[in-house]
This record gives sequence, C-alpha cells and structure tokens, in this order.
Amino acid sequence: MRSLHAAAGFGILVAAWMILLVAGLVDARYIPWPHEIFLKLLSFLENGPFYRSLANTLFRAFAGFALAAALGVSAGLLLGHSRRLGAVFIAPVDFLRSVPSTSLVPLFLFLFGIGDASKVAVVVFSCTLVNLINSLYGVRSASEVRLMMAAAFGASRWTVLTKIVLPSSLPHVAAGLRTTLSLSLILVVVSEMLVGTGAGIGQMIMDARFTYRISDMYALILALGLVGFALNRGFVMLEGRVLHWAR
Amino acid sequence: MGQTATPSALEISSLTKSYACPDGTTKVVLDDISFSVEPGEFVSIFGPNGCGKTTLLKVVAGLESHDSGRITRGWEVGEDPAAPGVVFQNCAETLLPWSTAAENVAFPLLARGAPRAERLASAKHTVESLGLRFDASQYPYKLSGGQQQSCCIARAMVHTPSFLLLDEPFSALDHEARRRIQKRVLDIWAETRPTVMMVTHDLDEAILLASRFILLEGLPGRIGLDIPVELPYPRGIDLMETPEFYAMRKTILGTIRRDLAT
Repeated sequence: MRSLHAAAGFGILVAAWMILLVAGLVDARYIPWPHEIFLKLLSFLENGPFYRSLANTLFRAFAGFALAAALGVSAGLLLGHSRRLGAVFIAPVDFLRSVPSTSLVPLFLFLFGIGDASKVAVVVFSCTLVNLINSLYGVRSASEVRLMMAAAFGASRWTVLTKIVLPSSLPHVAAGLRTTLSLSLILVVVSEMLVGTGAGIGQMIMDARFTYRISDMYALILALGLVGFALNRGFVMLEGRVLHWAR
Repeated sequence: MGQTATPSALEISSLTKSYACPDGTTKVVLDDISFSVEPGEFVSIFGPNGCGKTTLLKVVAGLESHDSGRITRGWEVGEDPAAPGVVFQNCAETLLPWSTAAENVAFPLLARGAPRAERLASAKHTVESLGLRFDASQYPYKLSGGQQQSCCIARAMVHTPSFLLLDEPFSALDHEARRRIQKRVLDIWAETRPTVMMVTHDLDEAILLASRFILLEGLPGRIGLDIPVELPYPRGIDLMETPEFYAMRKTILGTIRRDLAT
C-alpha cells in the first residue's frame, strides 16, 4: 500500500511535467520529454564511461563520508562527554559549520591538488562537523532517570559510559550519518563541477551542458537522484533494524 | 559480629531536606525525620502525594543530598556491592530500551562485572521465583506497563541485596498480578530476610506486607505514626477481612483524621 502511494506520487510528478510540455509552458529544448531522459539513462547504462564516472563519484563520496563519520563521531562523543572540552570547542565548531564548504574548494585545491583528495576534503570538512554536532548532543541526551538508576545500583563510570551514555547517543549519531550520506554525494558532485578533472558524474554533467546535450544532462541528474534515493532508503532500513528500540 | 548487638540497617536522625523553588523561596519537604530500621524489617512508608515519601527514599539511596541531620547506612553510596536494590517511581522510564528484559533485570549484576551467562541465569531465576509472566528475551517496548514494572521489581532483587528500597513498586500492576507478585515478594522476604523500605499510598498494601508502618504526613513531611504491624506471617489476601486488620486500619485512619483536624 505504501509503495503504491509512492508510485502514485512519482506518477503525478511525471504527469505534471508532461502537462507543462503539452501546454507549451516550458521549452522542450531546455526541459525534454520524460521518456527521452529515461531512454538516455538506459543508453548510459550500456556504456563503460558512465559506470567509471559513477564509481569515481561514489568512491569520493563514500571515502569522505567514512572519514567524516570516524572523525566527527569520535570528536563529538569526546566533546559531548567532557563538559570542559565542549565549552571550549562548541563556538568554533559552530562557526566552521556556518562556513559553506564549497567556498573552500580553492583552498583545498591549493592544499590537495586537483585529484580525488581535494573533493574528498570538501566532503570531510562539512560532514565531520555535522556528525560532531549530532554526536555531541547525542551523548548529552542520556536520560536523567536512567543515569540515576545506574548510580543507585552502584555502576562504575565506565559502565555508565558504555551501557547508558553511548547507547543513548546512537539515534542522534545515526541522524548525523543519515544527513551526511546525502550531503557527501551533493558535495562531491559540486566539487567535481568546480574542479572538473578526472571522470565523475559532476564532470559529465558539465560536459553535457557545454556541448548542449540537454537530455544527457537530465539523465545524469536522474541517475544521481536515484542513487541518492536508494542510499537514503537503504540507510533508513538499516537504522530501523539496528535502532529498533528508538522508534 | 557475634554476640554484640547487630547494627541498624539504617539510622536516620533529625533529617531535614528542602528544595529551592524557581521563585527564590525554599520549600521544606522533610522536617526533622528520625527513625532507625533494624535488619530484616519490612517498613512501609505511607502518606498522601507530595509529603516527601519519594524524596526520603532518594535521600536514603544516596541519590539526593539532605540539608541537615544524619543518615547511617549499612552500605556505601557509590560503587558498593552491598548497594540496595531499588524500584523507582515511574520505573518504566528507568529501563534501558536497547536491552532485552532479561538484560535489564540483570543490570545490577552487570554493574558488578558479572559475566553474561551468569547474568542471564540469575535474571531467569529471579523472574521465575517472582512468578513473572513475560518473555524475557523481549525488549521493554514490547512489554505492557505491568510487565515493565515487574521487570523493575526483578531488577531490584536480582543481586539478592540485603536492603530493598521500593517506591510504589506495585502501582502499575492489575489486581491479580499485584496480589500474586506481592505474595512472591513476601515469600522471598521471609526466605532471605532483606531489610525493606517500601513507599506506597495504598493503605491496604502498606499494612498487608509490612512488619512496621510509618505514616508520613503534611508539608513539610513529618512522621505522624510509627507502629509495628502485629499480624502473623505468612499473610494472604484473606488477612484483609480479619478484625485485626480492620483495627489496624482504624488506628491509622484515626490518626490521619485527627492530624487533619488540627
């Protein structure tokens, strides 16, 4: 029933698109017919360069995502646990979080060159901070009554940390990871567009634009949308299974 | 040890406790409370809502500080294997949602560093000896309110503590489960003789279970009555229909009425 509703949602989206085209409200040169885009995507799926680009883009996104998860979650747990470290670093972290990481692309180009590293760096910069903030508040979200219960039964600080504080933080940590999973794909594609060397979906979109292959462009956007959608769905399913107790 | 008099399980003298209110005033919740509990006693603390029963229990557990007076406990507050077993008010909120009912029951053993197999075996044993009817491999969110409370009762007893602090431990149970589990708790008490301090606002329960009855009343809370419950054990529900039970009830209610009138 739920997938039926979702299918209806997509149907309405495509129908609205086609009505705009039929009514002549949009120019088919800039916004092609849905089936054209779909067929183009199928033709992409038959050739190697597309897969190589997709693999490159996903590799950069995942590398950034994983590094940011390791750095951000551990730093967040530490800053959340230590009131003093938290008090010292929250303001700078908030400041850095407010800096759009794409504005740092030139800096990362100087630092890491035009290869994968600078694109991964853009992802790591933003996603680390998102994970840090979520994990920090996660650690501090442990319920007072549960901490009191543990104290009453004479639990050690270590037991309280590992059996109460850390599990309590997991739903928040997961929320950070879910956000950065989407964010990492977005940032990689944008940096590929800005830096544009080596194969990548962002690069392919720019190439299509410059050579005026409009339906190629949309097919690539559609491919990115589908990948992002699948990743998010997969993560939500995994989260629901692992953190079933968090509702 | 030996021939010398056994020390009290708990000694409270001239205990006073107040809270700071947001408007700057202070509210005294416990005023000049003194009593001592001998090992193996089952003391019920009865009183209306808001008379400081829960606060008293938390102060005894070492979870809240007090302003003046002295408390001597038979255990150390903090990491002490002799720490009491506690059933908290609103106990469902104290369960760990990420652990199964069995692991929740076994938490006091986890705190004492017992290995997993031993923890689960003890949890199973405690759940069975209390006659609890739920699947211990389930997570708390799958249990009913009554089952969650049963889980808390089992958790308080899993490490066979020599002191039990119970805050309205049977409040979420239906009539049948309440009588059944009360009976099991009494059986276990008769067998291993822990000292029990139970807060309740159910008068029948307070008399039916306890060997000593303390009435806490007023604001700030003071001791209005402190009397032994001289009814024979083992006690069953039919005890509530005896003249002795009625007499006890009458004494207590008379005291409450007199104190309300003054």
